[in-house]
Amino acid sequence: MQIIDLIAVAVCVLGCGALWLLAERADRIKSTKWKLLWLLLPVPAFVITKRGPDISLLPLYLGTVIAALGFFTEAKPRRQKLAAAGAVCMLLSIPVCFLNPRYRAKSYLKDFETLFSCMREHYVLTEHKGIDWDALYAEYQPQFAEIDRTQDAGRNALVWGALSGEFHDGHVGYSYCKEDNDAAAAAIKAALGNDYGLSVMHCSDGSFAAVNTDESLAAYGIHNGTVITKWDGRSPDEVSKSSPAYGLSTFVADQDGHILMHLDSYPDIDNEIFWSGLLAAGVGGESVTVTYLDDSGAEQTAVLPKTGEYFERCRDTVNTINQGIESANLAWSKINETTACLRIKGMSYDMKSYNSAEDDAFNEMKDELRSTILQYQAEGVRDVIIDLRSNEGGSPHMVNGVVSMFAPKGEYVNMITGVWDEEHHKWATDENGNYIKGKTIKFQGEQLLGDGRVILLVNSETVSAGDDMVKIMSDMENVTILGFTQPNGSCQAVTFQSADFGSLSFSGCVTLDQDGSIFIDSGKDRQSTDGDAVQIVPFDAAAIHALFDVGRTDSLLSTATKEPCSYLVRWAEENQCPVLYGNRN
Amino acid sequence: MSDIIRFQFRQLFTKRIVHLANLLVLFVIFVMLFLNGESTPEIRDTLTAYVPQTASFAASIALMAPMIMIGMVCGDDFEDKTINHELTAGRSRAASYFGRAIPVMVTAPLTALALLGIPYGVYGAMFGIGNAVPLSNILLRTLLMLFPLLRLSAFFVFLLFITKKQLAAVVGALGATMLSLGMIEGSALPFLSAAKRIHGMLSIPDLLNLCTFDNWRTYDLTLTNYYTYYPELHAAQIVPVIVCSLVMCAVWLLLGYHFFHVDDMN
Repeated sequence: MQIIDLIAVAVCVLGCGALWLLAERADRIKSTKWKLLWLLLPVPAFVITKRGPDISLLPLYLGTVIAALGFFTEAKPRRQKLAAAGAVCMLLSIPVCFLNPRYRAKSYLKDFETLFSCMREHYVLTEHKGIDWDALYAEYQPQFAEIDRTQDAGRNALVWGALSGEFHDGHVGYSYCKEDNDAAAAAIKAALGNDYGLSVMHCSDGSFAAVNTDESLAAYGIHNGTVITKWDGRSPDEVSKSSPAYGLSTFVADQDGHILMHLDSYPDIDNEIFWSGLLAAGVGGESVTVTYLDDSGAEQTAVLPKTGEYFERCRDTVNTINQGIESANLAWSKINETTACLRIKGMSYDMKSYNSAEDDAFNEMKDELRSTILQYQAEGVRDVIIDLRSNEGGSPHMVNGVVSMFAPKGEYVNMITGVWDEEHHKWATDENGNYIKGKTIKFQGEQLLGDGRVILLVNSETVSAGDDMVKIMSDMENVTILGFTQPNGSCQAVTFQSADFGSLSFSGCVTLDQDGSIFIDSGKDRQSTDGDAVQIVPFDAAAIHALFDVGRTDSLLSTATKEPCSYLVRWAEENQCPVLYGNRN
Repeated sequence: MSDIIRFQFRQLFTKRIVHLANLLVLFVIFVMLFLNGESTPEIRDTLTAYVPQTASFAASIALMAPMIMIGMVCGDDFEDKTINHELTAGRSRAASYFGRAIPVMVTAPLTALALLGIPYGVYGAMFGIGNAVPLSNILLRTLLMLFPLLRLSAFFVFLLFITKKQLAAVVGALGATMLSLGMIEGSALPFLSAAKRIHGMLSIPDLLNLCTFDNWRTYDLTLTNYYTYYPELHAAQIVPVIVCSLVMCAVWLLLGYHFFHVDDMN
């Protein structure tokens, strides 16, 4: 029984005790005002609650009504009897709550029906991604019916994660209510499996390597970069697919609701391949048999015992690879004499500009950016790195504002909006089923850097308006895009629908490319259209060494000001990346 | 009792302060509807598109006038001792009580609906009806609003007969409006949030639910909002609202009468 309900019962029973005593006093001092006190008892019964009335608390509500009947009589014995009867009735609610399996039951099935039907009606990528709604309903409805029966909040989060993952769309995601946070986090952590002292990553040459290894593995000769050939006798990417966390699109949050880690079903198949070894390292029982190549190249086998949950190591691995400067949004840092870095964690400047589509909405931000760039230029800065890693998206109009600073002079098209059919309440399509093009979102380039270069840093969590920025800058001759992976590949605008115990986000607003095709989002082939221009930095022994042995040099802004802000930039520098560092005196 | 009822009706129709309160509320609703329409261009300009956007706010404001009206009829007669004179002249307490309760129970809900209907009627005449939601659905919801308004009026009658002060009606009306406006923004009090989910639990959430049309919102990149409404009312919503409103209306009137029946009139 929930504490808050126990408190409500206790307060009401004490209230009955008080009425018992008051009956005595009211008998001695005659006044009609006393009567009103008998009407107060139902108030705490309904007000002291977190989720409103519950059928299991019916004896409590009846008890307050019985006690309140003292309002209609002046006789002390009758009032005292009513108070006593009310208290007894109230106390009955305690065993009823304990015995009723549906006590405070959450309507998970109803939530599923509400959210699924809304998304089914309004999801704009149904044709593009080939979504079979009937098949999805047939697969997931029984699971939610079972969750509703068992009231398993953790399983609810997992199944929503699985359902969201089916769309391979960075905008599809279920947010569970805060009350379910702990159960959901525990379930997702459990799905990630056990820790055996290492993570496994897919390398650019197709092999799998140990990363983020525990010192205890040195006894086996396993260190960061050791090639892992088999995990319990199977290829790591194959093992990953057997992980309960595989294909989930969800998140783990702490008790305050702060997101600790995202799990993704990767809209772009290339990103899925990059992360294809990660989940394998959590799959296994009390121990796993790992087959690996030792430093001499000979194949060895080690039996690694389980040391705890994989979650923390998995999260640390993802964070280390994804990096991104820890600083405020739109914060600048000077990397070296000729290069400055602009961190953009999300495409929002302030609420006023965010909620405006006017051309001049982001003028204040542009003025700030312009003055900072000119100031840096005066100090000798020629090139700018824009760190878009894990950019969570936001306003495409802010993207226009930022990109206009760096784009070569001229007019550019960002994207084209769809046309809303007011009569049929859906996005208008032509006779072939293609969305009709509406207004075009444009901007003018200022080329503030002159002949300076721009380098974008991206990762698979660069999403939505982050994707948008990558896409529109990828055709610009003064821009290079670097990343271990492509950006996320999800750029339809997001809409929301709420239910009683959670909410669902999904792509509900059409954005189109200039040729009228879907803007960026991957289709049935799971190839998004903003990844082609990304210069993929090899994830190899050198990268692993730099990231996991030398240290996570860009985790602090202070560090970033003294040396290149990330492995990606160091790689560009060391490899004489032709765009950023080539042809310089 | 019929002469008391007649007198109360006459008082309601002739007292300047009642008309002034109603006109003031009407003015506020007019200003809200028409100025709001100008400052938020994303709101469509037909009546059926505008009602779902604004009805909750308008209803919250419209609550005030009838509550003050109840204060005028019930509270004023205590303060100027009219009721005392009636009782000493041999009238029964039942006649004094129901002679006041019945007129205000008839007038207050209808006045509230009129205060809502007039501005929206003018708005519809100016900007057209449209078809964002069926007009019949809006009318049905308007009719159903009578029930929570009846319940609320009965509660105010009870409140006036136990406090015997007009001020209680003013404070109560302000409280109801603030509560209503607060709930539109999303109440931090869990029991009020629950009351919006559970039909029939409280009158103000019921009223707001009838003013709220389930919808899904999308937008284009010029940030124009487009709403798809799901206005259908189901028996699971209508029946509890009607039954609970009538039951609670009877309960409040009974409690009020029982209290007044034995109350000391000094």
